[in-house]
Amino acid sequence: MTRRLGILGLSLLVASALVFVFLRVLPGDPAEVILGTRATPVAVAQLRHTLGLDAPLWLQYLRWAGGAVHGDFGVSYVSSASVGQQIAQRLQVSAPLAVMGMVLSLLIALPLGITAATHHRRAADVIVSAFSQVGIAVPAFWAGFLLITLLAVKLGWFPAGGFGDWSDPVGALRSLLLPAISLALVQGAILARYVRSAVLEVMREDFIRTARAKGMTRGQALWRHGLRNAAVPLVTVLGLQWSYLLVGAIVVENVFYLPGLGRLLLQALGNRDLLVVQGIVTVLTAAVLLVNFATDISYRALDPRLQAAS
Amino acid sequence: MIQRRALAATLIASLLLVACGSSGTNGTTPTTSARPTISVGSTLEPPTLDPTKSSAAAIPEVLRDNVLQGLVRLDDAGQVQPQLATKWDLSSDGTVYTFHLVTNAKWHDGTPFTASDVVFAFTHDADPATTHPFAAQFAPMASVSAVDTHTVKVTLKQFSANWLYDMALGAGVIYEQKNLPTLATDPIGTGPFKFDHWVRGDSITLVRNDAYWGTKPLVQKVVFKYITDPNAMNNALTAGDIDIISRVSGPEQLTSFKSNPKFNVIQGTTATKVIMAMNNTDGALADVRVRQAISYAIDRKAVIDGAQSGYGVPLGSHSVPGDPWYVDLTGVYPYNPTKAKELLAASGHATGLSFTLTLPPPSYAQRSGQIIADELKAVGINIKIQSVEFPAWLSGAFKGKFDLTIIGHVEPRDIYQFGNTAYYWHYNNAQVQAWLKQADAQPDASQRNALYEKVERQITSDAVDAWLFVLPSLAVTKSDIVGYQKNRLMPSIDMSDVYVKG
Repeated sequence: MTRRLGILGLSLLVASALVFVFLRVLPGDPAEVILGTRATPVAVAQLRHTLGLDAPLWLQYLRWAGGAVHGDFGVSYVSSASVGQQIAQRLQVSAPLAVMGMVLSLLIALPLGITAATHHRRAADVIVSAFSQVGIAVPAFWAGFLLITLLAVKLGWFPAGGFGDWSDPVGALRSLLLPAISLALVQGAILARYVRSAVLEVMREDFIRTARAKGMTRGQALWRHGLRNAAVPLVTVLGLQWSYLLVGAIVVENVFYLPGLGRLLLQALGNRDLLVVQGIVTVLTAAVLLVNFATDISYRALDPRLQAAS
Repeated sequence: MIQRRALAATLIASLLLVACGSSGTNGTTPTTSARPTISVGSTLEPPTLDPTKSSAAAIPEVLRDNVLQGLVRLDDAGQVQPQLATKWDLSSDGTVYTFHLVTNAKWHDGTPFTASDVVFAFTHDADPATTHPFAAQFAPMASVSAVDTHTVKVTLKQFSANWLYDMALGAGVIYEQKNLPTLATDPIGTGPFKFDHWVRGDSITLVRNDAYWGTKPLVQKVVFKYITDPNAMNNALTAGDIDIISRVSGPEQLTSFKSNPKFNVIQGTTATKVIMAMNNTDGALADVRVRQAISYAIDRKAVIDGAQSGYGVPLGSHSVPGDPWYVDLTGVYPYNPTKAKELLAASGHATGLSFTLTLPPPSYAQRSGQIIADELKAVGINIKIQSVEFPAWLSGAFKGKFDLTIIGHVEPRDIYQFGNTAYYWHYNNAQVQAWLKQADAQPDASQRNALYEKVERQITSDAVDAWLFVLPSLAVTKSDIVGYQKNRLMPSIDMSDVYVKG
């Protein structure tokens, strides 16, 4: 456990250092962007000094990392607002969106995948495979626009975008539902295939035949014995898809103009607001690493045989 | 089995609950008072609200003329008009402005507005330690002082024709000394609207200033909603989440709104000159014949039709219709590919010329670039397109490291840049520099305009750049919105005269 935690910490460190270097190598100077086209070279140099941009690269990184371990991600060059505070505020939109997307995608994938597997090579299987193909091919933002045109513009059931406040929880959920569905349609289609193949694998196992011989129906056998075995590869895929979900969320946030982490990232990149970008990428990297860590641990809980082996 | 059914039931129930939660739209329902809220959709969110700390045009867009005001303002025809200064006198040598200020203006925190506020703001802006992004606009100012509580005297180093005009733009706003530490997040001004709150990434809300010293606005609230994607913006207007699209990013989007009686399309002009800048010291481009050939090779009409769906007025030089010295020079280099090839041959470059065309993100640059690259290829000049982000453009092309680039010059009346030898196109003509110096110091308007006209004709005959078109101002409003500005000669969305009909 401590070894895994150590690897987690080290990965985070290396990732943040890499991002730091890439951002500084990117063409464009934050001071120039702030001061604009009428700026004099003297003013630009002065601002660079005020922002600490003329210090050597390793020193700038150390200053940032020193603050980051205490949760202080610094102060934005451009807005003078605390980076950590901005990220925390945007997480109120992005975190629920990502979780809702994940949950909805499972709600789509599980029934569809299981149905396809139990009706292997029959009509239901073909239909599900076709839906899955379409779902994988459709980009999330296109699905988003389709949903907006149908449900928001034509029918008016949902807002076309935007996000109010969690103080109005029903309104907040309404604002997040269409974006979450856009994400879930694509992720669900991908996951459905994995669910299908995992369940098919399991149904061929000997213990399923034994269960049926004992008198269980196919459904009971799957539910009692099959699903836990199918869960292991599924959890692996979920962990991998999590990072794609986060990326998809960035695009979908733009389509629905949600004030989330993705939009802040794009804005900050355009403004060369380097500390904000650094902070967001660190948070996103941590999210991916943590989910991988959680899936690693979950294997042992799901399948005791793995525990015994390791 | 039971678990699955319960799950399905819960899911359906929650979906129904959420869908029926509150029907319809948010943001445009009338308040209980007779005055409504108007939502304006904009693409660029300000990074901060402090105009002394950032050059972003999104700041004056939301604050100028709404919350923060200057001594003077620019009207929809581009003329300097009184704002916090009701009138002003100029000394006979043209160096001393005496501004008579409004006497009943109050800051939004209740403090009376006085001359000392103007003195503080201007001194602070001109101070090099402030690193004000528009410090250059305060450079002509030698000193500023309060004559009495409502009179301010500004002494210039010498007469400057541009100084008063610049004070009507974004940088000329007056702010309170005690507000300076929180100007970035909580601006306090003297304008018809008070800053209410900012949901970062989403919107900025302004409320009516019931104690405003001038004509009070006819709306209770203005909400600026920030939507970057053009399709999402259109959806927001169609679904009723916003009432106005302040700037349409793709003119082809207008066709559906034009034919819809529920919306008005408002078409006006800006001061933005879209040009293809040429690096005047770079290899073959140093030869005026090559630059002229490039100018002849460009079909401005095709560029406007292809890149702007026909919206845009062709430009022949570095001023727009509406500038007092404007003269139409589009006829100097009409579309003539044959003439272009002749000039290239005469300069010894009939074949083999190859340039990189650097394009920043705006769609007018990207689209025009594609069309112009084809037009130049047709006369034997090979073009390689390089798309860059705006910060990269600032530190690359704008520093003079480019061959050709397409950019919109947003700053009005910036013809003086042709006297700046360090400016990115590297033009160095001593006669033009002399004319520009004389013009800025010339108090007589007609003589001044004559000098600027001479400059225009010279830079055109030298083909310093290839001027393309004036960017139009394109907005869409709901048909019951009245009073939205037609032109956008400076980045300000002035909501003080906008109201809802009926």
